[in-house]
Amino acid sequence: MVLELQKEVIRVTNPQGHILYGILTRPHKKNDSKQLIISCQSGVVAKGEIGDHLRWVADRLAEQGITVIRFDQHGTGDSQGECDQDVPIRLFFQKIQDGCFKDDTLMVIDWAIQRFPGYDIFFLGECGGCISALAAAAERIKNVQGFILIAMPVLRFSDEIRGPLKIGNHDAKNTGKQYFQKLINPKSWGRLVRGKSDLKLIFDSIAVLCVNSFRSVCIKNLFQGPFAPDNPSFNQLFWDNLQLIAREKIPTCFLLPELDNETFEFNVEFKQKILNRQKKRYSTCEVIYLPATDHSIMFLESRMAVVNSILNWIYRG
Amino acid sequence: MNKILEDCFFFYNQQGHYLYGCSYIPRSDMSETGIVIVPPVGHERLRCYRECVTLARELAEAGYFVFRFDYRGEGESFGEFPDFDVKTRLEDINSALKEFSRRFLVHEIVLVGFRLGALFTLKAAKANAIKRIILCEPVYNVKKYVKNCIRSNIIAQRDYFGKSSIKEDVIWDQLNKGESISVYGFQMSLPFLRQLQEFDISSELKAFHNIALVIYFYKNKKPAALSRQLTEWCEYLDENAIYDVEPVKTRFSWTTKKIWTPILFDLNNCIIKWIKINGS
Repeated sequence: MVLELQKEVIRVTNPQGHILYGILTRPHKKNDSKQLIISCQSGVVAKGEIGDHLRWVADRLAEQGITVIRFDQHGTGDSQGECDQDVPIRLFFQKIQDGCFKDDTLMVIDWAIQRFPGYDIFFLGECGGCISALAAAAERIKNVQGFILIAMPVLRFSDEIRGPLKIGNHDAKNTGKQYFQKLINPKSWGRLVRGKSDLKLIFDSIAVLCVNSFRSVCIKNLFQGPFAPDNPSFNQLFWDNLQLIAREKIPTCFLLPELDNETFEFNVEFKQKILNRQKKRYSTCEVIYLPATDHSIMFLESRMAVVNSILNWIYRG
Repeated sequence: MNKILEDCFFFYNQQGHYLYGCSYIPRSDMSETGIVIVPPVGHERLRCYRECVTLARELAEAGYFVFRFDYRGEGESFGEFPDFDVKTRLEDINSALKEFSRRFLVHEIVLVGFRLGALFTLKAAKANAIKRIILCEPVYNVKKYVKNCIRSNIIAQRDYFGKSSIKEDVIWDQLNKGESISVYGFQMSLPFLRQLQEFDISSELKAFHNIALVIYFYKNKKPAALSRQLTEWCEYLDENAIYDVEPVKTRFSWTTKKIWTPILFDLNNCIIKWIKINGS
């Protein structure tokens, strides 16, 4: 039987005096596990995220006894303040990756600590929200019991629009797979001969797959660099906060959607180069892959996988 | 001091379901006209979420009482997406209007509907004797809209899972079996899509006897003439309504979000100006 949830609109004022609106989802009193998750959305949508999936996840977690706070950072969703106007989304996302929502998140943490004394506080970040969560929680690290970071982007968004060889790894795989399926069908050859197939996309995808496979194998077997990121695009803010987490031994779960282009970058630039080579230092970090899940967690099965992974991780051991 | 007072809250409908709403109250120069924003559905609601918030604030700054809400099954309101359809969304507009009237004493309410919300606005205006409506980027052809929803699911399955052979009839079979399909992350069900297909836009337009503003967006160069679909709409409206058509230049897009456009200045100005000029 599902016990009724309680929902409440919360209002937190940030240092600039803007009211941030959020939703507190609480389990039924009989079911309260005294665990609290502060959920940080990516920053480019609203507190429910694409397909309202963070709302769905919050409801499922609350059914299992966990209290969840979701909120809109300033300039997003219902909250007050403005961020930018008429800028390319990648530039806006860069600002998020540089921690522009840190102060908002900090205010929400303080609000939560005051309202829920004695609760175990976890952070749930998604995409850019991972950075907001890490940057803010670093200043209240003694109050944080753990991080759950979904689709963590370890590299900063490029200043330039994606070039031909910047096709994401998953996109390249899929293009290759689809064209391979088509080309074993004789009818599809007609399209190719008539020039209707996107040959550039096919060859670029093959090039990306070759380069990425080579890169992955080399790093796995030959990389002997320092135990620090060597990619100039690696997000320094993430790196700095990760050092703190490692030092304080804060449990951290990286939830990586299998069908996400960023997962490849995470694996190559962070997991293979750093995590796998310093297992002792990062012993509290765990990587969990979400099967058949895309970056935006658009499919119902993926959402269930997210909820189950979070619950299994929180209640591990 | 802020020029307006605003708040977000839950309110309840007759069935005891909660709906999420936000109100925006002017502090000065209060008009006797109130405005209820009727949102689009699913991914389009999310796509213009912030834009609707900033529209509401600018309207309130101009002196109007404004109300926004989420339909049941969406956003922060009660329930899950597949359990609610067109009929329930029309009920939700009624609930929002009731809640608005309960909170604020205004002489007249203007409905501002976006995309599918514009179609629902037409129906709600008739049911609630609302005289002035604004239809922003309305869905001109619901059958095509439904087809695009199905196509988006197919494209997502192709892009993410490499399923290149999946066809529309397979998706309809799934829907007929009672399954829902993900349309940009929103689980759409058969009743919703069927009710949309049955939505008779021409009858609704012909049945509208009051005052309307139809807004369409353009990106670079203002179109020399109205689109065929909009011209058709105007022909239906011609029968009984008084209406204006206004083009609005914007970099906003209903599809992929490439530009961060939280404030649609031209849209907001166009709406405020029209409401003022066509005052009761």
